[in-house]
Amino acid sequence: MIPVTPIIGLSVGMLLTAFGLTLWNGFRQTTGLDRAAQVISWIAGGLLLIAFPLLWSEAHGHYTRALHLVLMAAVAAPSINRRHHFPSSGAIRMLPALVLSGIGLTLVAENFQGTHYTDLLTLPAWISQEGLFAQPPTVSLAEPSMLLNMAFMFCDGLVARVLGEALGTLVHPVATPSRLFDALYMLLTLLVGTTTLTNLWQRGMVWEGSPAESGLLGAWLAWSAAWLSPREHPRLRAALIATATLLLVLLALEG
Amino acid sequence: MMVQTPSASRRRDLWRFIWQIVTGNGLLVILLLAAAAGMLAAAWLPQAPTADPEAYARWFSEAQARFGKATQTMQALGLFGVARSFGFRALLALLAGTLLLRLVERGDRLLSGAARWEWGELFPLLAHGGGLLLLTGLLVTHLWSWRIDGLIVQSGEQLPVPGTKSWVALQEDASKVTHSPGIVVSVEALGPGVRVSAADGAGNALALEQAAEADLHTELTLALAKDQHFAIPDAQLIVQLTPQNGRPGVQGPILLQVYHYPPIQLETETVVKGDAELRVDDVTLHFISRPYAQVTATFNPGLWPTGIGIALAIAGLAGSIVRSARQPRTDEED
Repeated sequence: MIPVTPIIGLSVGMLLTAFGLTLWNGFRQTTGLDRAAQVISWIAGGLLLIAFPLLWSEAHGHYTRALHLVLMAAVAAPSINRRHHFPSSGAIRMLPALVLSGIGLTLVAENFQGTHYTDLLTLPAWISQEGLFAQPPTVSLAEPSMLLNMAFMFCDGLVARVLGEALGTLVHPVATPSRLFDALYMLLTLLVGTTTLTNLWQRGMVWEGSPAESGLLGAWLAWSAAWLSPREHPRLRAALIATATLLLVLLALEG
Repeated sequence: MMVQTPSASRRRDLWRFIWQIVTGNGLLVILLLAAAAGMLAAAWLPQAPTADPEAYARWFSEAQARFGKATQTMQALGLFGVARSFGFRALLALLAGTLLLRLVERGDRLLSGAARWEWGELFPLLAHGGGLLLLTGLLVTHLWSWRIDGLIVQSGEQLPVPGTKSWVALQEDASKVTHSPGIVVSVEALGPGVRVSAADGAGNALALEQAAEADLHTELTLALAKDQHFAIPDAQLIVQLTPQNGRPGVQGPILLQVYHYPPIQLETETVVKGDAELRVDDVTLHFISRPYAQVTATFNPGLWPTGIGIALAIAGLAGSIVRSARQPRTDEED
C-alpha cells in the first residue's frame, strides 16, 4: 500500500516552495522564477490529486474532512496566472491551497501512529473535534451521494481559488478576481434556489431553520453582496469576495 | 418661464440624493450583508426551540453552560431566535422596500426612455420582482400559515388535523400518505403498529385499558413509536409492546411481554412480526399489523407566491450574472 502521508507532505512542501519562489521573485525579478513556481504548483496539485484516491481507499470509501481538504487543495493549487505585475499578489493567491493542504496533512498524520505532525499545528476546534475517519460510515463512492459530495468538494476547491484571487487583489488591486467568481455565484444561486424550491414542494416551507440551511443562505447573501459591490472599488469588492468565499470554505469544512 | 429659487433647487437635490442612495447598490449591499450576518449567527448559535417547553428547557441549560453570563445579553439581543427577532424582520422589510424602489426606478428609466430597451434589461427586473414576490410570500407565510409536527396516523386510518378541517390518511399497506387538498404533508418516520383485541376462553371480547382511569375498549390501535402497554382488567394481565431497536421498518419485530398482577410477574414474552396470536392461560390476544407514519402537516397560503418568486429571482439573477460576465473588461483576467 502506498503511504499517503508522504505524498501530501511532499505537495505541501512543493506549495511552500512555489510560494517562496513567487515571493522571492517579487524582490529579485529573476527571469523564469515565476514560471518555475507555476510548474511546481501544478506538480503539487497533481500529487494532491494522486493522494485523493489513496486517501479515499484508506477511509474505506467514506467521506472525511481530510478527503475534502485534499481535493479542495488539489483544485486550488495550480497557478494559472499568465502575467505577474506584482509577484507578491501571485504568492498570496497560493495561500488558501497551502493552508488547506497543510490542515489536510495534519488531519491525515493524526490518524497514523508514530507520527508527530500534530505537534506542529493546533487545529481550530471545529476541525479537531472530529478525526480523519470520524464521519458515519454510511456513504460509499459507488453511491450517488459520494459523487455529489465529490462535486461539492470540487466546487469548494474552486471557491478556494477565488479566495486566493481575492486575497491577491486586496494586496494589489490591479489583478481583479476572474470570471470564476461569477460562475460560482451562478452555481450557488442555482443550489440555494433548488434547495428552497425542494423544501417548499416537499415540506411546505422555504426554510426549516436548520444550521446547514441558515449557513448556506447566509453564505449566498454574502456572495450576492459581493457580486453587487462596485467594480470601481476593487479592494472593497475583493474584501467582500474574500469574506464571502472564506465563509463558504468554513461552512463546507464544518459540514 | 418659471424660475426656481435656490432653496427649492437645494431641496430637490437633497431628494435626488436620497433617491440615489435608496436605489443604489450600496444600500442593497449593506442590507444583504446584514441579512447574511443574521443567517450566519442563526447557523452558528443554537436557536431556541419555541414549540416544545421540554426542548426549550434543555436548550436553555445547554446555552447557559456554553455561554455563561453572556446568555442573558445574547438572548436580549435576539441572537438565539434570529429569524423571529424584530431586528431581522425589520431588515427584511427594509430589503423589500429597497427592492420595490429599485424596481420602480428601473421601470421608470425604461418607460421614460432614459434607458434603451434591451432584452437584457428584463433580467434585473425579474430578479427584483422575484425577490419582492418571495418576500411577500414569506410575509403571507408568517401571518397565515400553520404547521403541526408529530402527527401519528396508522394504516387504514383517516386522521383529522387538530383544530382544522384538514385530514391525513395512511393507506392500508402503509405505502402512501394521502391528505386533504391545500396542505403539504411530509413523512418524518414510519414504524410498526398493531390493532389488538383479546378474548376469553368462551370467545367473549375482553375490555382493554390503556392507562389508569382511561376508557375501556374492546380494541386498541397502538403506534409503536415508543413502548406501549395496556391492561386487561378482567384477566388481571398487563401487556407491554416494545419495537425492537435497530431494525426499523413498518413490519419490524415487536417484543411482547405479558405480566400477571398482583403482584406483577412476567408470565410470558415473545417476539412477533406482522399479524400474530398469543395465548396466555385462557386468554387469546390477537395482534393485527397496523404500521404508523409520523407526519408533519403544513398549511401555507404563501406557497405559490414564494415558489414563483424564487423561480423568477433565479432566472433574473442567472441572466444578470451571464450578462455581467459578458461585458468587456479592461483589467487583467485569469
